[in-house]
Amino acid sequence: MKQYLVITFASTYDAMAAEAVCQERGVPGRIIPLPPDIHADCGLAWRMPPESEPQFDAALRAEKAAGSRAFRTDGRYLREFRY
Amino acid sequence: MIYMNHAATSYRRPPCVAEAVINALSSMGNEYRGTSVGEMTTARTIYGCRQELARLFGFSHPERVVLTANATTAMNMALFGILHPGDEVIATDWDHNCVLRPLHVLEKRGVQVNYWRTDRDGRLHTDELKKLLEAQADREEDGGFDDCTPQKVLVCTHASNLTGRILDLAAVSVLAKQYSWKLIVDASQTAGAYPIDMDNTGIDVLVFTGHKSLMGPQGTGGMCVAEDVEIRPLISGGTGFRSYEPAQPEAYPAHLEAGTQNGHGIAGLGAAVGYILEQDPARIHLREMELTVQFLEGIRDIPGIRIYGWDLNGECADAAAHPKGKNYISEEHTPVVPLNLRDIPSEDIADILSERYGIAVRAGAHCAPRMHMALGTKNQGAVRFSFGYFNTEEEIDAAVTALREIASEI
Repeated sequence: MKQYLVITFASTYDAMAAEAVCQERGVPGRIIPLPPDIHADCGLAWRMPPESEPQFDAALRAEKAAGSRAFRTDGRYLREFRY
Repeated sequence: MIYMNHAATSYRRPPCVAEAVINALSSMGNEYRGTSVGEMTTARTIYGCRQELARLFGFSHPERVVLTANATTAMNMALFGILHPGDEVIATDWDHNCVLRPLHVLEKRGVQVNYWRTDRDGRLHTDELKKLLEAQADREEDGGFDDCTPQKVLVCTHASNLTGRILDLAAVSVLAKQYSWKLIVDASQTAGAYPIDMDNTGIDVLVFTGHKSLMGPQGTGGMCVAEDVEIRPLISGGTGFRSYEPAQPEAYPAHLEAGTQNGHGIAGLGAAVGYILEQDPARIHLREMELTVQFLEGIRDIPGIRIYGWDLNGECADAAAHPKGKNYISEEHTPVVPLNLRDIPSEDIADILSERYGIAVRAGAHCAPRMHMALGTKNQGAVRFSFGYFNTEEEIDAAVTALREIASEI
């Protein structure tokens, strides 16, 4: 089963802002409903291939958008984002 | 119909507005209640509308653009969500009932309400405001408030919906900051048709309606809430996230947005704001003032006419020579002209205009009781002409002719 990186957000607005930034900069991934094994903030999450993380990171930093935490799809917490 | 009631609502709108609403009706799901195409279309549309509104109002926090059903709802949310018993408010004679009626309720709950009054011509002078602010500061210094200092809120309409006079918000904001008052601005009459720069002006809460000069659908509106302003939610409910938390989420805009949004209306509002940004509010204002000057020039010498809120005693106008009417109109105005013909009830004139000429205007009290009392028009009301971006010179000529004919018969 393919592994993904799932980013959570403090608010749905932040999730939409991240999507807008990623679409504008061509970062692969999409909005998904927050997986049930991730107990986090808002009901939306961003899912992307793990190799897209640096691109995602750069995009959100450049646009001062806010991510919250990153998880792998097995639900293991990886790290907190601070933009 | 010749529509000249734009201060009440837009009538002719850019075609993109209706197109956006029609498309939305057959493509939208419920924002944040899923991530399929329909729900995401709605979420992206509403997100885009917030971005556009923030850009239009010079506001650097689109996440704090709160969308509501209209300006009245937003104003109630702001006033009830900020003020506590013992707090102080200054409102103005220009204010609409969307301000006056909530303040009436709050006054009964112990909020102290004072009014910045107009002169006999309906003008607000900033030195009068300064006196009110100084008086409150003196009371505070004398220890008149026990141990706790009250919150102080100055609420002003950006432009009177009756006379069209525009308040100098920069000057008002300087005074508000100097005396540590929060500034709430009702931009219902100016949003979209006059430049507004919320960040640089220092406005704490900017309230707007979507269906007037923003040219969007009815049932849309909202407010921009500056970063350091906290508003307690007036209503609580579903947000599509954090469902197990009993309290309304702290994060904006959900903090002040409970329940399903008017996604279809917001789609239209977003399209309208996009159109306005393309046209430029300054250009819209210029065009509307050209039409207004043409109208004033046509009616000013009608026997028995009384025009309120306009200084027409200066040099006679030559609208063509003064595209913005600057030498003619000594004050900033929205395209609103209230008038009466002799002592004829304003409703009668409005009815003749509608029935005989097909011209739509608004008579009566305009939900602005204090302004009418200040002008002495409580009994007669006033016939209010208010023009829009899509009015034409021919329509203005028709309105002038109609008024001249009616005046000659009464």
